[in-house]
Amino acid sequence: MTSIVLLYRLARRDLRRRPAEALLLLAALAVASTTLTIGLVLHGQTAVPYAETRQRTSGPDVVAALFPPPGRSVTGADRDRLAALAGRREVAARSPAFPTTWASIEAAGVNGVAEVQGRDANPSPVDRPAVVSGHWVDGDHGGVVVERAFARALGVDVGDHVTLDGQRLRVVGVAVSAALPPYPQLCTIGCILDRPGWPSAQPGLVWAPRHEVGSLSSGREPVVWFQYLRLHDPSTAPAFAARYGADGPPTGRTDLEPWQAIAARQAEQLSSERTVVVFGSTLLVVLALATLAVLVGGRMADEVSRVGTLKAAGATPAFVARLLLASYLAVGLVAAAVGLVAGRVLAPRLVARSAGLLGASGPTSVSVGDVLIVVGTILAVVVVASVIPAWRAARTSTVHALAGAGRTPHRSRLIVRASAGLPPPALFGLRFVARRPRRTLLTAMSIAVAVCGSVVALYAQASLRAERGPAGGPADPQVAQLHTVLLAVTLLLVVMTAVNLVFVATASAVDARRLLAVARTLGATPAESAASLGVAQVLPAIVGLVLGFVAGSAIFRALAAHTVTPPLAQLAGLALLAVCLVVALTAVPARIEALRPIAETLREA
Amino acid sequence: MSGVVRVVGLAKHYGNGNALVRAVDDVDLEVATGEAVVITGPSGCGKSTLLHLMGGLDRPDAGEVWIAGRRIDHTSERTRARLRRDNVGFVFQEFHLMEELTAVENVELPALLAGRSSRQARRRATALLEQVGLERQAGHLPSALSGGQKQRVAIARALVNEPAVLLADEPTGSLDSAATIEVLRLFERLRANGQTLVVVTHDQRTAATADRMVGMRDGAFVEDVALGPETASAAQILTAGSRE
Amino acid sequence: MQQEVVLALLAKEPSHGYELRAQIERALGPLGAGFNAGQMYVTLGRLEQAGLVSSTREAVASDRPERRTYELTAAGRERVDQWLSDVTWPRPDLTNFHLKLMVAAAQRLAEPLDIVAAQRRELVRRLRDAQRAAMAEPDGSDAALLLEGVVLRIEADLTWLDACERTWSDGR
Ligand SMILES: Nc1ncnc2c1ncn2[C@@H]1O[C@H](COP(=O)(O)OP(=O)(O)OP(=O)(O)O)[C@@H](O)[C@H]1O
Ligand SMILES: [Mg+2]
Repeated sequence: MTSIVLLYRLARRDLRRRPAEALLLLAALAVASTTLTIGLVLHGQTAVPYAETRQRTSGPDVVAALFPPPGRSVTGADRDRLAALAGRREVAARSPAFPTTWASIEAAGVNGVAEVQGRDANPSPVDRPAVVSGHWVDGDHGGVVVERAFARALGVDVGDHVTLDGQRLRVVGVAVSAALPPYPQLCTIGCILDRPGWPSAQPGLVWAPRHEVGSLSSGREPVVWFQYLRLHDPSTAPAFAARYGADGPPTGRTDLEPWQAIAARQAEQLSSERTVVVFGSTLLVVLALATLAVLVGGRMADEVSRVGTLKAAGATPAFVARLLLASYLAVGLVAAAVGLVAGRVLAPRLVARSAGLLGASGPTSVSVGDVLIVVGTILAVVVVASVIPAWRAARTSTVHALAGAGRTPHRSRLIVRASAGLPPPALFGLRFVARRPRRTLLTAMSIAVAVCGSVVALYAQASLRAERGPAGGPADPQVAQLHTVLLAVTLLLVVMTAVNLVFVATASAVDARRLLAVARTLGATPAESAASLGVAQVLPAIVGLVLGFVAGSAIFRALAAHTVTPPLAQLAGLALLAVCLVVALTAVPARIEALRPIAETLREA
Repeated sequence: MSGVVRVVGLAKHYGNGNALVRAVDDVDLEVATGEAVVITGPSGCGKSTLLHLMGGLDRPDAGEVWIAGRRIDHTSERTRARLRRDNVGFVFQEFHLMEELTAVENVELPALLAGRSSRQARRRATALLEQVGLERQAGHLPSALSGGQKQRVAIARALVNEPAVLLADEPTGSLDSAATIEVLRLFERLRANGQTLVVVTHDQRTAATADRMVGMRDGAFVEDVALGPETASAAQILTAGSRE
Repeated sequence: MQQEVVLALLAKEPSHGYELRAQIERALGPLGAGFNAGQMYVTLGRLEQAGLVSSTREAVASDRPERRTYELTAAGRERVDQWLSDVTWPRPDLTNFHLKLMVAAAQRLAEPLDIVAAQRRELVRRLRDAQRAAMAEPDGSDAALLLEGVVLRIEADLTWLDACERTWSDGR
């Protein structure tokens, strides 16, 4: 009991003695746990909104789409076959067959393509889109209802007008349906886009009175018939679709799509955001680990003599290890709490206000599981990064520790030999690199992680831009959303790397203090001393940069189906930026160190 | 002709008000070429501070420091570094060797800093190690050397650029008597070869290497005496030692 | 007992033999236990013979022993000055040097610290000579061992001089 009180007192004094370090550590861990929380919140969000939408709109179990054979339109015989399908034993309920065609759409200067589905005023037994504003289509009064995500992208609302193939129509309602994926995923289920310029477009769904479809297509556009089916057992939908789907030409084709596939499409948008966030938070956790390792490792050197005092006073090695851990664990717990709250607040802002679904923009919640995962991860990071050095410090012989000796530097014969002929900055820089291999590795890894993340972000942005289609088209909410998320994650990465670099640079500078003072008595100038610290940081940074580029593009290639290489200028800019950042962040502590009076340093040694 | 090292009206203070410490207080000293000067005095009297000022490791609050005919107290840190490199060799109580470098690598370091080729530097370092009697230990890391050997390596390192003056701060302060003799033997040889030496010490034997002894108290010189020419032959010393 | 000590004790003012004795006993403390009181009068007698002191008899009651007051002559004074500035150290006669400091201070004849400093200079010079001689010897020479002994002895003396200096500079 007394030992816990003692532990608490010592740990608290420890944190108070170095408030800046404790704060930086807190920041690093909090950023990591925030992103982790966002990732987890997003993960839990996918399934719920679709299920809710499906339930509230009497969503279909299977969507049947009857396509005309090339060169002609659908015949009566084709429709009979569709009707026969709809009449099968497994089918519990069905909607009427809805004629559907494609038309160019223009709204307030935005041009796009619309999939226009002819609907009746009275509700269908299957698929009754939920009208979120205005009212449903009404043959007598005319006017169209626009799918909510598409309406947002076009920037239209009830009362506005859209022009479908030259025909000006009033928007009478905005609705949400579970039968087809919302904009911009709509066309993942059967679209015929055969006008010039269309294939790259992302159509959105517009419901119109049945007769409008006929007048729109006017024989030019093929009309496809959609029929929505409900099965007795919704879970058999994939089997049903596999058995009866895709008859193929020449008699016309019936595509069958089970609801699970639509749900997956719905999830796609969220999932790519989730991928970004999960990937980003993984990188941030790695960076947090690196920050912690630098901090703990850097502190160990001067901690060792304190450990010696404690041990000389009779503390067991286990007590010393516990003490060192305790202070970090406290910071870790606070950071996890901060991260959970921040993640909970930020997640809804970052994540799609998924317009195509109902209930999606409702409050996101952090489950008990999420809390456990975040706290567990942060604590694991803390334990991993501090238990090893703590253990080592605690095991150091008391006499050695009292003498205040830090770790003896590593010797690399090769580097000593190779650097002998070089100018002083390179000579010392290389030797610093060789002297603390672990720290060098940490610098390289931090840079690699940040660059890797940024490269992935650049690739992702380039791919998004390539997918966007012709300029002047409707805005893609997913792209905008992803841009935001990517930007946020990249910024967090950069901030954390910067924090990390400052740590490493300061730790290296302090570590090299005595050596540089001696080098200066031997005739090294302050500029040479500062430059050698710079070299010691920039060299591993360059290695990290290369590693980051290679890993980043490899990861993106592995994650993404098709890769678009970002412009070379952007990649070069990133590299340049990274190098400048490293130089700038190293220069300050290096300069401070280099200008320290030598006499003072020697007196301390 | 002014000496290799000359300080005029040198002062360095720390703190202020009641806590003012006059570490060096209006000191004049001129060290002639080939002279071996020892500065002695009780702990805290300002010996290290004076030596640091003479080597340009610190800036004085007042006064002038001249090394090899150049005034260095108001020059840039860079100029002083260059001057140190070419004219001053430092030896410290704690050796200050780089632990990850072998003896010969430590010794060649200032030569490399001075821009010599790595081969030249190595050749010079090897020669110096031989001179201090450590040719067999050239490839050893400092951790594998005794205290006396470490200090001899440090002295070799200080000499590698053939400095005009060697400044040593308690060079035998961390050594036992046997190791002290190793180092004193070396100093004696250097002195005999005309190396200018300024040694700060409170060890009697180290002080006895000098031609001239400067006593310091509270930042100021209280005596400055030439020990004069050698007066006694070995026989005289022996009789002096055993005379009733 | 060195004659010079007795002379120096008389430097400031004339004194009786027994006062001189008491002063020396005080300065030597326990080391003065074996001090032979009669020796003092023998020394004084020799000094008088040598013309360094003169004495006058005091008139006292007839039942008491006669008292003599001793006084330095000019030659004696000169001898004292010589002694104070003398730095020979034939055999470290610590008692003698110690008494020299005590007497110099008590009689305000000279600053003890100056005496210490002068002595130190001399000893350092000797140390230097001995050390150089020792270092000039080849390894394993017999003379080097003897010289090392000389060096160590001077070193010990110098260490003691440091102690003297510390004590005397603490405002004794
Ligand atoms: N950075 C500093 N700040 C304040 N006081 C200082 C500083 N450096 C030295 N001093 C003081 O200046 C005085 C002279 O110090 P210095 O180290 O030169 O003495 P020293 O003669 O070398 O002593 P020692 O024999 O113990 O090495 C001391 O009183 C010391 O406390
Ligand atoms: Mg000192």
